[in-house]
Amino acid sequence: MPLLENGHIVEDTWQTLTEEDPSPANPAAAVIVPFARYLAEREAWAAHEGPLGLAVKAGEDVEQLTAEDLSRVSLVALDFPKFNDGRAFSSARILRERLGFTGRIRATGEVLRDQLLFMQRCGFDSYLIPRADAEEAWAAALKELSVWYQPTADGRPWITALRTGRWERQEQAAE
Amino acid sequence: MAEQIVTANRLNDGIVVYFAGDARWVADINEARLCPAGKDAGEALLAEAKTGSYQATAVDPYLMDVVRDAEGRLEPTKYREKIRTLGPSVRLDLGKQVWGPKGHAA
Amino acid sequence: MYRYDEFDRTLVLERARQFRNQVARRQSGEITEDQFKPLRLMNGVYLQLHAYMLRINIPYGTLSSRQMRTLAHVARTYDKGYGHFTTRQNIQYNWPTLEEIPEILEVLAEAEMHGIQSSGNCIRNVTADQYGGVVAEEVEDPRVWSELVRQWSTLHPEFSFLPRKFKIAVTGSPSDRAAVKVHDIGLRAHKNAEGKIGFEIIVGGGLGRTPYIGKTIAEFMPAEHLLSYLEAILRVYNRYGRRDNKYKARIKILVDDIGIEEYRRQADEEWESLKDGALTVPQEEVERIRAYFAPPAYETLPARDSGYEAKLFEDAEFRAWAKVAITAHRQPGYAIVDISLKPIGGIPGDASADQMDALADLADEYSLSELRVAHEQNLVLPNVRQSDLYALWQKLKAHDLATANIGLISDVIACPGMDYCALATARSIPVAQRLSKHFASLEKQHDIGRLHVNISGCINACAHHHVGHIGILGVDKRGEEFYQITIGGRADEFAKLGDRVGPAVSYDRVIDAIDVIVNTYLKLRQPGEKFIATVERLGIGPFKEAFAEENLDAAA
Repeated sequence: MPLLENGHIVEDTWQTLTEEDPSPANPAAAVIVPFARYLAEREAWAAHEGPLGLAVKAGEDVEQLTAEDLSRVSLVALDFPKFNDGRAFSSARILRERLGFTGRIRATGEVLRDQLLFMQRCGFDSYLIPRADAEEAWAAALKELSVWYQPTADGRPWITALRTGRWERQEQAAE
Repeated sequence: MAEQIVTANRLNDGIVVYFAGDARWVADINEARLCPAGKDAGEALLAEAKTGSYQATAVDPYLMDVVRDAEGRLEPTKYREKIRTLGPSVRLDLGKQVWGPKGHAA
Repeated sequence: MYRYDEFDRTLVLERARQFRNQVARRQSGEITEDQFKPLRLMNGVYLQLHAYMLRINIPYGTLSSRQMRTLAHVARTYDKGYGHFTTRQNIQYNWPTLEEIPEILEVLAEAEMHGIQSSGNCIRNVTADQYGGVVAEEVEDPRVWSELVRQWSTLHPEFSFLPRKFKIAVTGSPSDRAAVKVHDIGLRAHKNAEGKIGFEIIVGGGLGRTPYIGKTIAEFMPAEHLLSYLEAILRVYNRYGRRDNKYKARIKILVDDIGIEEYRRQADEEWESLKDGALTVPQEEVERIRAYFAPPAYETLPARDSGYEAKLFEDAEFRAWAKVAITAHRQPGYAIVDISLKPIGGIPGDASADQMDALADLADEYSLSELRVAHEQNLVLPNVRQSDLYALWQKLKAHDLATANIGLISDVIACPGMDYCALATARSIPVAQRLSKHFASLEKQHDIGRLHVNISGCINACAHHHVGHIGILGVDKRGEEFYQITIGGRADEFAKLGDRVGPAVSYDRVIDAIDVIVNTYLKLRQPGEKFIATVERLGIGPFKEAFAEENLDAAA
C-alpha cells in the first residue's frame, strides 16, 4: 500500500514482521515487530542494530512501553482494524502527550482520507493509504479545516489559546 | 403467493425506488421487475440490481415481498413497506400517496 | 445568547465546504455508500424511509429570532414547509435532497447553526435545561458550561469514532429538566460551601435496549477541571467500551460491567496526566462566554402585574392556559412561557414554516428576541413581561400555538416512529394523535393533572418511554404493531425507570389501555395527589390488576 508522509507518497523502507517470521538476518534492517512479540522478546530486540518499529493492535495498551523501550523505537504503527474503530486515536495521543514519543506514528489498516486530519491532530505523521493516484487529494484533506477547539500533541494553536492570548505568549516564550 | 422485488432509496434525493431491470430504477412500484418467492430467485434478482454502477443511483438495495391487489397492482406485504410506498400515514398530503390511494400513478 | 466569533464561524463554514466535497465524491463514485454514510451522519444527514432527513443542532435549546427565521426559510425553501422539534432540542427536516444539503448547511452557517455531530458515534449536541438563565430557582447558568462543552466536543480529533454515540446533558437547577441521570454523562452545576462552582458528574445513564440510571463519578468537580475530566472519562470509554456488539457499546454497559468505583479509578488515573494541562478552563474564557449570557435589558417591574392578575380572574380560558404554560422568572414582573407544539390531534413537535416565522416575530415583540426548545418537543419564550402575557396568548391562539396542555396527558412526547424513521418497528405519531383526541377535553386533562406520556416507535427509545409517567413502546409482532406499556417512570431529579403493567396490546387497544390506567389513578388518588405520586404510593399492583381484568391483550 502507498505510504503518505509529509504530504507525499514515499517509499516504505520498513519491513513488517509477523509473529512467526524469523528475525531479520541483517541486523541493520528497519523492521516493524508485532507489539506482543516485542514485549515477549524485549532482550533480544535490544540487540537489534537497525531502526526498530512496533505494530500495535487496536486493543493493546501502549502504556506498557517504558522510557527505555521508547528510546529504542523509532516508529509505532497503530492499526485501524475498521475505519470506525477509533481506539488508535487515543493510543497516538498517549504516545505523544503522556509518553513523550517523538518518532513516527504510522496509521495502518482501514485508513480513510476523511480521517487524516483527526489522525494528524492526534499525533500520526505517516499513513498507509489505499491509493497512490490521489496523492494531491489526500494531501489536500489535511488542509480542509484550519481551526480547532482542542489542544493536542500536533502543536497547532487551539481556539481557546488564540482567544485568550495564551498562544502568543507560548510562542514568545519559545523564541 | 407473494413475489419479490428490489427496492432502495435514490441517491440524489432519497426517494423510494424499485429495480426495473436493465440497470433502471423507477419510482412507481408497478414498473418493478418481479421474481418468484424463494431465496435463490431473490438473490439472483438482488445480484442483478447490484451490478454496474448501481451505487450512483440506488442506496442499499434489498428485497421485499409484494402481492397483487384486486386490480392487479403491486402491494407490499409488510406494513413498513406500505408506508414507504405511500408516504407518512399522518401526512396524507406528502409522499407517493398524493399520486393516488395506492401510492402509484393512476 | 452566544454569538460566533471568527473562529467559530470559520470552523462551521469550512465544515460545510468539506461536506460539499464529500457529497460530490459520493456522487462521482469516488467513495461508496459504506464510506460516505459515517461522513453524512456526522453532518446530521440520515436516510429515512421516504427521503433524507437532516438534523440541525440547536445547542442547549437556545435560539434567536433570527435563527428561527432561518429555520423557517429552510423549511419553506428546501423542505415541505415544516420541521420537527425533537426530544434532544434539535430540529429535523424530513425531505431535503442530498444535492441541496450542502447549500442548506451554508445557509445555516450564516445563522450560526450546523448539523455537526447530530448523528454518528461521536459526542452529540449538548442538551440542557431549557430555562437556563431565567428560572427563579437556578443556582448556575447551564448555558455557559454547555457552550464550553459544545466547543470542546466539536470535531474532537480523538473522540469522533467512539464505540457508540455519546450524549451530554447539563443542568444548573435543583429541579432537573435536562434528564441528566439518563444521559451518557449528566452534569449538575452546584456550589460548594465556599460558593465555588463545580459539577456533579453522572456517568452511564441511558435508555434504549438496556436502560440505566446514571451513577455519580464525581460529587464536586471544580469548574476549571471540567474539560480535562471529561476528556479522561471519554478516553477510558473510547479505549475500553465494547465494539463487538452495538447494543452493548454505550458507556452505560462499560460502567455496569466494571462498576462505578473501577471506572472512577481508571478515569482518575487517566486524569493524572491531563489535569492542570492545556484543557484547564481559563477564567477569562469562562467570562467571555458568560458575557454573552448576561441578563438582557430587563425593565424594573413590580413582582406582580395587576393587569395580568385581573385577566387571570376574568378569563377562564386564559387562566387554564397560564396555569400550565407559565413558570416563575428570576426577574420580577417577567414570566417564562411554554408554547405547546401539541395541538389536539396534531403531530407532536411539528411546526410549520409560518408558525416558525410567527414565533420569531413574537419573540422579537415579547421575549427580547429569544426562544428555547424544550426536550418535551415544545418551545419556550423565556423573557415575557407579565403585562404582555394576555396579548401574547391571543396571538399564539391565532397561530394554533396556545393549547393549554403543557405537562398534561395530551402533551405527548413521541418520536417520528414508522411514519418516517428507518429504525422504527411501529408507528408512534398516530398513537399520540388518538390519545390526544381521546383526552381532548381540557377540563378533563386539567382534572387528571400532570402526567407525562412518552411514545417510542422502537427500542432505541428516542421518546424516552422508560422515564415517562406512562411509557409506550411500539414493537413488531409478526408484522403487526403492538405496544408495551410501562408506568411510574420519571426523568427528573428523582429519575426512575417505569415498570410494565401487562402484556403488549394491539394498535387498536392502546387507548383503552391508557384509559384503564388513568381511570385507576382517578379512582385511587388522594385529594391533590398527582399521577406519579399515586403510582409511587400504591405501587404498580392495582394498575396491573385493572389491566388484567380488562383482557387488554385479547383482540378488540
